[in-house]
Amino acid sequence: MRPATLNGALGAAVLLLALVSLSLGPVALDADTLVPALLGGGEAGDALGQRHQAIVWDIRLPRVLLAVLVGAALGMSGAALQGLLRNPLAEPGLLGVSASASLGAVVCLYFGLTALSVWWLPAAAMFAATVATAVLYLVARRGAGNLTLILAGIALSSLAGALTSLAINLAPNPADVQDIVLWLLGSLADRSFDDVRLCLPFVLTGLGVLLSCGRSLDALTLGEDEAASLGVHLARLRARVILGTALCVGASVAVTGSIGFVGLVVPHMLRHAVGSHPARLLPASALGGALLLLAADGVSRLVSGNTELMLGVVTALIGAPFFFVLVMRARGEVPA
Amino acid sequence: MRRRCPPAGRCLAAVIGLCLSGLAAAETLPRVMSTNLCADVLLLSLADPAQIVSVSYKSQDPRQSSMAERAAAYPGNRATAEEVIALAPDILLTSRRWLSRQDATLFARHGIRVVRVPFPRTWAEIFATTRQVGAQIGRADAAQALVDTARQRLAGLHRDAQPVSALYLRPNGGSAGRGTHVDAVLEAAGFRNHATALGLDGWGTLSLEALVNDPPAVIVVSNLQRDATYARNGFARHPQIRRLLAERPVLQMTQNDWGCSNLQLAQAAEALATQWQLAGAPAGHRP
Amino acid sequence: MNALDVTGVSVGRGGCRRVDAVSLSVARGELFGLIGPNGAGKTSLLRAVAQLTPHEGEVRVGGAWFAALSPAQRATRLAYLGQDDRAAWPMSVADFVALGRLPHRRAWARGPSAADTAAVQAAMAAMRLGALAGRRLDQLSGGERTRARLARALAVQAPLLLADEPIAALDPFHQLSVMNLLREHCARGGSIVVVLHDLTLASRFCDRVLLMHQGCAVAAGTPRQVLTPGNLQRVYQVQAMHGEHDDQSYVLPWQCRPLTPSEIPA
Repeated sequence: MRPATLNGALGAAVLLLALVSLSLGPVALDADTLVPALLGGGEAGDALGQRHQAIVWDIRLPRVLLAVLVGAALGMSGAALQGLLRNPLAEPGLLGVSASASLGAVVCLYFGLTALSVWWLPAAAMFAATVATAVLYLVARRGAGNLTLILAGIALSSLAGALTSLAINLAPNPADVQDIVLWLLGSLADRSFDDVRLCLPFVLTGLGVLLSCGRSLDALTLGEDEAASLGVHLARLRARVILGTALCVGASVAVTGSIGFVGLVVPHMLRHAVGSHPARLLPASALGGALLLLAADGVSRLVSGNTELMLGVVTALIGAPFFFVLVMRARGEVPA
Repeated sequence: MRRRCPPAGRCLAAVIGLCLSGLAAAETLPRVMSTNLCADVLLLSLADPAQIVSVSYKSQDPRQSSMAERAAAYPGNRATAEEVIALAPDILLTSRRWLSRQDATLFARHGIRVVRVPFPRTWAEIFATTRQVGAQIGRADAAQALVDTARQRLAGLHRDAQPVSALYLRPNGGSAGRGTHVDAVLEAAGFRNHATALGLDGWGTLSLEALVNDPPAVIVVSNLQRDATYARNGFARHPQIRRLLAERPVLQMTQNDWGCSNLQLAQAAEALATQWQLAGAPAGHRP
Repeated sequence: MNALDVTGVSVGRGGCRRVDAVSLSVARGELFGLIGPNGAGKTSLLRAVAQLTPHEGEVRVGGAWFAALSPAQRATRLAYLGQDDRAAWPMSVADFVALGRLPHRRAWARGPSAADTAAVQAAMAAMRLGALAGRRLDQLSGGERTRARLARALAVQAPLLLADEPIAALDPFHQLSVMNLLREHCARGGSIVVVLHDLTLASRFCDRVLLMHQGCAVAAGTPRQVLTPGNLQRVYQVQAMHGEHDDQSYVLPWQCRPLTPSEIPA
């Protein structure tokens, strides 16, 4: 399939699913109420119409937009990390980048930095994500195989998790650990345009930075030396991928908590369709990530009754078995 | 763990001192210890001061308890089995959840009778619980007196033929519907519980959409301290909820009375009704 | 003008230099062999020439001072083929070969230009890959993969190609066929520096060779001049059979003979 065709199809699916998602919610809105509410043409003074408009515009739309943004960010980060580390098992959540971003966010939340400015929240998350990605890169650089990389990821995740617990314990305003744990599981519930604004600039910048790495990541297919001989500035490429991933993952985690496995599942499903080109995989994974997250969010809303199923739980339920299969397959092919 | 129980020696000395001072009065009354915020409230309002051995440290924190001042007069405990054994009360008032984690036979061996304080959901259950615990600790008369007073206060509250809908709302969207003590209080204060109307049974959360679609006339909030965490506040931060809170009268529960279900709720109901009048209840709804 | 001039290149610092003041020249159309035992510094020298590792000394490619060129300029003048033959992703052969065109593509170009397509096709034809264009890289045999990698390097259309042990893991048929293809490339005017372990193939196919030992250039010249019994004994500690076939001399390592203490130079 030609890349443009694939991306077009994915984009159309995202649009379609976004519309479906707008029609899903605890308050049943049929097409006759949904369309006027969406178009904003609700008769002035009509209280019910205004409420429906508020439901669609202020409650459902931010949620859909966040699903698209965060899904795209996670999908493309996964594809870019896999390209940089030349390893199909690389994924921000699996490798502890998300956990580190969560640590940054929690430290920021529970030591009151958000009181100074809400922008500290994404800033702290992105900073922690940068450090984690850089550490991973240093590990992966020394010709580390799948096993080493995943072990490093586990170590990083555990450390970030432990430090998160420590931060919660030490925080001046001790909070219910369970709440944080739940929050860290990731959710899109009750998000508003405030949250969209908080992550939008960083996610868009991150996506742009990652997208600009495509050619270099293509060259990296050949290994670092040959990529360099093709004119790739390796140090700059690393810095760009790390920065782009940190921007995407950090900003996403700051508003939705950590949602895992999107960056693993999506690039893997699309790799074949793009002929294994890391560059073509980037935009396709962004669209695929948006699609997956919209779908997962829709599922979590449909299946859960009174208490909503956390989105991170849904993606993990999809992703973890998938990861398991990948590991089993990798065991047969690549010597760790 | 900033505020610890005083060292065991001082603890013991205090207890002995208390026992000696109250010896004459409390001779026949069992010595009682409570390990739980709600049990503390019952104990503090029912017991003879001399028979109280210890209350939970949480009761001594004015941010968590409206009886902090009275609770501060007694040694605080952290609800550990060690403290219970060391203080050796005759009766231990506790919650069911706590008991499930502790070895009841251990206490039995030390001659400590464990009384589980239930979590009542209706006024009738609240009265029954109060009388039951009162009887257990030898203060049946005091319990009956408290129940009578509460009954009178509740009877004094106005009930309208067409009550206003009120919604108890926590920052995470949590609310309480049918079969909760919150439901009982809202009814007693002259409101119709909006959560019950929205179909909530027991405790649970309401969706933002459902609230925006069908908002209540009045919102009742409590400032339970642990609800102030960012993670829970996603709901409360939403502009639609902020708008709702800005547009509707909001009745504030300043005391932490909502965490427990006991006779204090009669005062809570009164306070709600009073606030509603002050907040400008429509003329037709004034008592 | 020579395709490559290397003057006094050293890699590593102080007493443990991996390459020590090596100089060499490669003429246009020449197949130049870099030989020496394991650890002699062949790969380090190759990486230094390609500006992939810090080094001292001067490297001129086609007369231009190579270090002074930008990475993009260097990429069109020198193609480098490393030892690592694990391609990360299972692309099709045609896509893989096209990666060699990256230095010629504009930053946000939509697709390959006509020149790109022509270069890819020429490189695939040169490496006899026409029938394999649609096959995935991970479905190729070792020999086919080596040819695909060489085609990728040829697609750069750089005047100079550096190849690090391209035939080390191949069977005799593929070793000979790849060396023949390299010769063909030189006949078309390309210049190649190739690291070889097989002395027989080096003597059979290379125009000239450089023998390295412990970072230093021991001898340079035609295979006949360099692969003398004395040099082989001193550097490889082997004795070889020397012969001629079809007017070409060849060397066949026959048995190892460690140096006696008296033979080891002070």
